[in-house]
Amino acid sequence: MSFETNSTTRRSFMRIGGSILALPFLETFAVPKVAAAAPPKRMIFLGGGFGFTKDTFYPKTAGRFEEIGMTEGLAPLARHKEDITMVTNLTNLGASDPHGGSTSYLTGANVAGTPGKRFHNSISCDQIAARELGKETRFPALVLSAKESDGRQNSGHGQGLSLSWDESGNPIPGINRPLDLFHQLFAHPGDSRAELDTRLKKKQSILDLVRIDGGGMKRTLSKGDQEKLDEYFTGVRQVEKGLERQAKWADVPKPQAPFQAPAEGITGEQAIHLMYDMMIVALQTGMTNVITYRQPVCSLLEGMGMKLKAHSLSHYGFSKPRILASRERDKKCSGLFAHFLDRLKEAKDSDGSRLFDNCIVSYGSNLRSGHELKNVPAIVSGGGAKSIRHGRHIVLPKENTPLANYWLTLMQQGGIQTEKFSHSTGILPELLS
Amino acid sequence: MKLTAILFVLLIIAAAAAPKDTVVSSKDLQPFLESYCIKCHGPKKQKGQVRFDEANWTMNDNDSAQRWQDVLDQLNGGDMPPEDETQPSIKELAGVLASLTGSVVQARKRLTDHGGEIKMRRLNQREYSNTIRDIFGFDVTLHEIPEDGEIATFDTVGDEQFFTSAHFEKYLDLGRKVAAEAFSFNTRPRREVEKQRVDPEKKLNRKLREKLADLDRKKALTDAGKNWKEAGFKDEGEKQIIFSQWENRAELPRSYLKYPKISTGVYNCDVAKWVSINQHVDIRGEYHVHIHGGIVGEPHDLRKIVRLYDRNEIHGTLKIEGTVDAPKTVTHRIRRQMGEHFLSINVRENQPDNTINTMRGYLRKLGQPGEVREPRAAVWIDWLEIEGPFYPKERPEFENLLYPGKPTGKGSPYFNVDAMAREFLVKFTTLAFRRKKAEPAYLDALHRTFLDLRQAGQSYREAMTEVMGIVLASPSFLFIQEGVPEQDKPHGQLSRRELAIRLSYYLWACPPDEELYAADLSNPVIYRKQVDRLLADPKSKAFRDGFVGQWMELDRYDAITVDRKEHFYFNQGVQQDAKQEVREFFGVLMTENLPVSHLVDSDFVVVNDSLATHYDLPNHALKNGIFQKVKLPRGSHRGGLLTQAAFLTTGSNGERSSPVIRGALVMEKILHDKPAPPPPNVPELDEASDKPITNRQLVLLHQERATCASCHVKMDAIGFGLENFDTIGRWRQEEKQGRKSVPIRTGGILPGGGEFKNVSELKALLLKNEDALAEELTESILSYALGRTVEFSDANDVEAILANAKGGRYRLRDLIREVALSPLFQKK
Repeated sequence: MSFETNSTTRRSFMRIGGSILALPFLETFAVPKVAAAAPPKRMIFLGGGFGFTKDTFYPKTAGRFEEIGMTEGLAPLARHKEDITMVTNLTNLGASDPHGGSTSYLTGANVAGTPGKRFHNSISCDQIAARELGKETRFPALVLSAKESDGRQNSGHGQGLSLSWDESGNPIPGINRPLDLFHQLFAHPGDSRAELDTRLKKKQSILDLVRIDGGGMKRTLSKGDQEKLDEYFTGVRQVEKGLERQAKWADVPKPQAPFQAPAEGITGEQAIHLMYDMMIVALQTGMTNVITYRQPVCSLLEGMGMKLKAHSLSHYGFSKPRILASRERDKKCSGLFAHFLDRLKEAKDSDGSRLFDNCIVSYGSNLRSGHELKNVPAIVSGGGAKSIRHGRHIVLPKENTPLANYWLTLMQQGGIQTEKFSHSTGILPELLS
Repeated sequence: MKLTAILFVLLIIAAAAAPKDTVVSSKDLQPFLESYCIKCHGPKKQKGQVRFDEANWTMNDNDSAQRWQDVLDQLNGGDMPPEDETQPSIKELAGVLASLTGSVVQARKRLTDHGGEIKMRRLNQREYSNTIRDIFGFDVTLHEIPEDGEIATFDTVGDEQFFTSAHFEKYLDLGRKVAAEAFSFNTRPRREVEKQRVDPEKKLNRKLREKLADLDRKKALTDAGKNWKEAGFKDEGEKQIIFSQWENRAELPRSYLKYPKISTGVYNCDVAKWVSINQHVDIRGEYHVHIHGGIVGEPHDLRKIVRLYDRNEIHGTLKIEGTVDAPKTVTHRIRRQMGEHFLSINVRENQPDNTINTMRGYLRKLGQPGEVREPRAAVWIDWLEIEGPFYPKERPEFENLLYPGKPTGKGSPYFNVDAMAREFLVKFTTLAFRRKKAEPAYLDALHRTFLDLRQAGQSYREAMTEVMGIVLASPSFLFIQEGVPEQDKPHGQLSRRELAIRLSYYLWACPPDEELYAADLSNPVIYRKQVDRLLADPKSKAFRDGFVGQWMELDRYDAITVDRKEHFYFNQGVQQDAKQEVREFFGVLMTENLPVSHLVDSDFVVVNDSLATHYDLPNHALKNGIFQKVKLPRGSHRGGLLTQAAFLTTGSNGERSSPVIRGALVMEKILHDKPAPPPPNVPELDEASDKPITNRQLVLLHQERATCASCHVKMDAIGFGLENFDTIGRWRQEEKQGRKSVPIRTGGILPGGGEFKNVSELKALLLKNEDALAEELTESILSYALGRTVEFSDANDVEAILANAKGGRYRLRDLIREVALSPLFQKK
């Protein structure tokens, strides 16, 4: 019953969703300070767990896609082949456990091997980018994720709540459901300045209150325990920062939702589609310039009618049906990504250019295939990286070039002034030539 | 003599090594390095600046560990020795990999040793729920509570917990909901026990008759030559569908309506798929759902079980006892949770969901095809009844607070009395903060918030709900706080209150009761008495479920999707019951204080009717719905943890059994020898030919490659010993190889442990490792109890616990008690 309702909502959403995206840039929602002439740079990080099929996804030779052709797994991206770059020989030096998931995908931290700590992580590159690119937006960054019902290793993402980690190495909770993102992005009745002020004031007094209790408690705690309590305070501080942003933006109305709220239980491909579509709206209306999305895998497979969990599927080597299923999964993922690029190209930016021209989009996974942590898949697209000439598969000369170098390169392309990230040893000149 | 001398030397070396040092076994590695590596990495050449003739065998920091990790990675990845050089044999390489992997894992563990520090933790989901229940007398469903995250050890380990802004927002919301619920339930007197009965046949028969009459009328009109419109169909399509499904739509109900006992009950079948009853309930109490009915004819045993369920969950299974002519009543007990004030129970035969519309295929598989047109009922239900509420003896603390010395709901000195708001808040914070007095500044601020909200026009109830929600999101409630030892207490001893709280969260997962708070726990005799009292209390089920659920990794069991078409025995009821079996079995070991070796083998199982059927156990007179100890017949293959459906299914991928996972689980849980995590960058096994092979052959492919063989030799062998149990834990002697059935080979050699032919012999071999099993459990229980990982530096304390329990062959309750009595447990 509910399934039918979902698919109806879904269809109507897609229809209307498609038409709003074709609208010109909506001035009202623009960042006040940004002149129409210079649209900001946007950075988008997309990731799914478990890598891709070894023999059918990865190109065997370097060169222009025009010449080397698209592999079976990349084929759905063929219409964008002049606009994507694939990089081979990148390895995340921080990852040591093939079952460790995407925990350090964007951070490069040595999760398991840090002295005196069972678990350690550090800030992710999207959050560094957000410090700069997110100064003047309603949301410094949008962090999206998916909650997969079967959890643990099956979802392939390991510890963490999203791909994003804050400066203390704590996980940043992601928005898990399309419906929740919808509520974040679009206007709803309680949004008037007066109502917001009352809400903010009330919330602020709550925060002050719990701080009094925590402050009293802190005096009696050991150093290690004070650190734990500080995590609590940081959480409270984050709520507060959110309130401050809300207050700052209270007079700029959120866009009216151009479609109905999506149903609650949407997962898998439908959820990815919806998230992608709303990401476009968020970028186009200037609500944020940085988005990270940890994509679901298990529910995607389920929606494709596959009984296998993502983890089981990743060990496909010994079984023909599994290999076929794995190849289907690859095509599905590439197809979804291609759809996202379509939308970016359709959407207009503030100066009339394509939104696509001002974005840097990274797409990849924490594993190559099976248990292989080396040489992870990395695809970058978007015209925001002005020095990257797309349309090529680049094989870096050195095996196991730090993935951190790649993130550093993309951050610099995004206009972030930094010379070092995680254990980077420099940028990737090959990408820029 | 000579042996003693060698031992002596070894001891000196061990003593000389610093606690953080791990020494790579040169005995295992040297010959290998000399044969295959030194040519390029030795005195003559030092390719890649690596040389093994001057190897540093000690790993005492991250760099030295990383150097050996690199060696390991090279070997695992098959990069070294290079292809054109002499290659080691699989056996040689596997031996070196096993030794080096072990050393590196140990070094990593040593290097991450935190020196026994217990990090402050917040209440995990289970504890939050239990704490709320303790205060207010109702439960909160776990999924409403902020998540614990992916915890590698136990949910009590503070170091593994995170706190984010989302946590805070959720705790605040949840706190408000709890407070609102408290004001609507804890201010009402207890209700009288009532009974409500439903005779489900009345509505059903009327509906069936009406529908049938309508169909017959339409058919008659059509037969008389009328078109779809004149006959009353929506369109031509509907007409065609109805006539093509005439058998199911008309003839099946017609035949049903001729059944003998339809005027007094319902035959549960594809005509009447389920029966239901519902009622508004008091979430503070328990309700009994009675089912009065009987079995139709002589169906397969599996079909005598019904399950009780609602939209969200399965409540349990029951075996229907009587016959249609002599029906009997069976009963199931249910409590509802916060926000779920409506009890709505459906009852139906416990068959897989996918068979509900067409039972034909299912019955054929069970060997009971039956007459096609017959309503294929096995269960006949006369009536359903809900009886309740039944309250616990003691009323919740919050009601004691609101109505001191008075019956709940009558003349509270606080509720709705503004002038008493501050005093109420003093009392409530003390209750919520586990008897810690809140800071005056905090109380003032709470009170001010209350007054502001009242001023703004909110009712007492609304305003106080808001304020109580804040208390329940404050750190003093959420965190289990233990003060600085070095300043206040000698030798890091916990204060009496702190120890009471640690003990009650260990064994009850909730705050202490009055007696525990009042007890002088610094007196060892009194302390021991309290430990025993807590263990004997039914509340210790919270330890049972919390510990064994995580130790046995039941969340992995939950994550397995079993193919129910193939494994039709694995219906939703069995799935649930199998999980409960693990807890109940562990519970029996606890209450009867049995040796932990029972986890390997026992002469009993702890099952209910549905599992007894699943295990093909001859019909025991089980009391309905309740898990109980059943003695196994002589020569039974069951007994212990390893033959339980939940364990065996966790050791599968939902389609076929996985000797690898089963073996790895046994190594970790029983032999205390957790296999190293799979090495990264080992290429996948090559694609198998299309020729069908057995499970054993499939698994043996691992062992053709040294990188896999080094670990798989042992885990696979153990797994083979369990191959007589299929994916869902049913006994089998054959497996499918392509289309044909072939006998299963279960024998193997346990490396370092002897040969076995079948599961009984495997168990016998495993039983020799009682000490290892006890050590595994002790370290795990200790970790759960302390809320931190157990480190090398704890070795002496662990040994002391084991020594105290060894005399009794490591009885489970002794171990749990010894952990509480250990000096480690009483220190910060």
